[in-house]
Amino acid sequence: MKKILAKTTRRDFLAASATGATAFTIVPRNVLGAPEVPPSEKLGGALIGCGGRGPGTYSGMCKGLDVELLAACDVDTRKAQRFADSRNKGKAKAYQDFRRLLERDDIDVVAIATPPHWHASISIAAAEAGKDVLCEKPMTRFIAEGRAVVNTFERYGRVFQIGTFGRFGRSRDRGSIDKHKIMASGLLKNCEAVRMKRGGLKIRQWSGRPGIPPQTIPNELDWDLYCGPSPWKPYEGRRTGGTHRGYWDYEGGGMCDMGQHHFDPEQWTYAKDYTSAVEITPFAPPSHPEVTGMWAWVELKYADGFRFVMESTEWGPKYDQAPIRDVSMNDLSPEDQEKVKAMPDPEPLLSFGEAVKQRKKAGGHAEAAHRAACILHLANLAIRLGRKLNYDPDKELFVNDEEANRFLHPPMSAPWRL
Amino acid sequence: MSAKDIIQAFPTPASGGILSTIDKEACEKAVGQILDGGEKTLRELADLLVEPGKGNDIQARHALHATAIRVGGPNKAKQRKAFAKALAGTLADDRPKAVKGFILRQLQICAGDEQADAIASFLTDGDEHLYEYSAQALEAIGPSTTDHFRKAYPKAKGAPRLTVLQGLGFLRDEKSVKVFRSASKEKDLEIRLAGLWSLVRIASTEDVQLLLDTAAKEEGWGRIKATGYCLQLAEALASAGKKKEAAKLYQNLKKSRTSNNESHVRLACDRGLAKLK
Repeated sequence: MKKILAKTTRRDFLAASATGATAFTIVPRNVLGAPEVPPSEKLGGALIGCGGRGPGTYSGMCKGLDVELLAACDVDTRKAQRFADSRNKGKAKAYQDFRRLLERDDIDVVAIATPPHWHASISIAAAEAGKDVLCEKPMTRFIAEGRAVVNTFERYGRVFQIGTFGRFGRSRDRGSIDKHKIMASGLLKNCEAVRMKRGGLKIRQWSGRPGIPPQTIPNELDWDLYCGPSPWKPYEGRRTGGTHRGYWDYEGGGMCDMGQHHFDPEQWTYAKDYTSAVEITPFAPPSHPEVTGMWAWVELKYADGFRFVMESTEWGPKYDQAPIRDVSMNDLSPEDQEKVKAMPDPEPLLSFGEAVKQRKKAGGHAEAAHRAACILHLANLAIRLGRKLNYDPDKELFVNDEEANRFLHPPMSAPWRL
Repeated sequence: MSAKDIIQAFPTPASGGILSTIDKEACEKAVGQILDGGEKTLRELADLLVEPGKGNDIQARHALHATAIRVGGPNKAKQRKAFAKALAGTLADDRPKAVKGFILRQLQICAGDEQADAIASFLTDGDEHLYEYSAQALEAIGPSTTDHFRKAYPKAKGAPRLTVLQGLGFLRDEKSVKVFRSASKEKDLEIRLAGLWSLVRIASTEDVQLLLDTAAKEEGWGRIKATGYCLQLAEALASAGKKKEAAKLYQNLKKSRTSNNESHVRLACDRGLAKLK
């Protein structure tokens, strides 16, 4: 029973892990001799990445908190200045380089809404500078980045929340809670459930356009800083401003744009926040080297047999490997059903604001966000590599596939590094 | 069949400029034809690549990339080696540097030790970011390529120098420890930080004091990153059972980071020290 409980509740997880290698307890500032920050105190806020989703992400971060915008940053100075002026004219300063913003002592919370190739490096730097972070989805561009983010936020005891919130609704939904308990119990061996996400991944919308000639870099844009940790490429406008989603260098198509929204709540429901799939099977044509494109379906199978399937509906055949079905109490023996019923419900997930005030983990914390991002990255890698992949979720490496492993931690452009 | 004919299996942009009309079977068959054609077909294919903005090579790039990808994976070593050898051979041809950059990026996917010489010849080439693509391909191949980085470092200037230094760190080259220590004392902040980061990846107890001293002198961004490297070194040493040295790092940082804005560093130290017990 203890084992079941340890898998079930956040409080138990935090308590258990506090003595283990993955300990994560956010100690209140006053414990360390620093001034206590009462829940009512005004916090200094900043937004890094001011185009597109930026303003909305910043507003989301401020929910439940009293935040004054002190700084806005974008590699395009026009966007930074526009946002600074719109929210706190004359007081909020605009930056082009996030490093200068993070050096400031008066900024407590940072919203990150850059293209995803910057999410991990800026999140890590923000935590190293002592800031709490709400970061847009997808959390990362590749898998090793996610582990580095997790380790950094564990190290510093900072709050991380990913910018997707579907899991909060699931955590209050009776049916989802029951499924969560069944899966978290560990009692369901050889699970036959197959959860399908059919459509909604914007495959064509966020497919890139290859072969666009290089263009003149706008004066207001620091293109080298935009490329940052990703390989440098000649500038062309579609690599920025939302259409960046269609390039492998910055995101990963509709899979990465929409996938974390769809699979993060599913991951919570089916208790997969601390693991990843072990077999990934794609049906996809060869990918273009620069731009994202078509695929039909990807199946991700976990060690317990549970499967997530994504079907694009925008190209190729339908998924036909197994019938779609959910988990239910009927999958368990009567004895095991009673054990699951006796389990306490998982504790409510904390919003970013609540987590900042209480100095606890947010509901969409770094490990959960990383594992959800892994679903997208593993699926995209199977699509790109065009073969079935076997993955070790503990080592976070592909098994017996050295070439595939090169995509898990691709070298970054200097001076950026994990 | 010529490469020009083979690549017709790959799509050209359809409505909206995207590759939505792709035929999987035809593309897979074309990959097989490229491999069957050997070095001759591959060189023809490389000849179809052009500089960005100088013509349409969408199908050629797609076909070459698809082949580089599909020679990888279990039980394909012989095929991969033959393809990578032939592809690396095209780097010696008279081609635009931007095209060579693309070829280097495909070698990052499929090359092995045998191609390191050809790839490393671009490590100090500042044109078209060839140094970057070269370094990243070598890093993907792995630690067997460290000799190339060591030879290139004294010759590299500007951006290539930082990239080569970082490559040595990425590959955890223990023979470059003196280079890393020296770099950590240079004027350029990014060189200093790359030196410190590289030392952290080596994780020697001999560098504990150097990291502490250097981090203490840094300000702003440099202090944020260098302090982070000290904490990472402490974790690495603790994992290796060198608890005394790890504790030294934590205790020093805890005592020296006294301001309110570095309370998170003290917290990290407390957490680190607790784990050592």
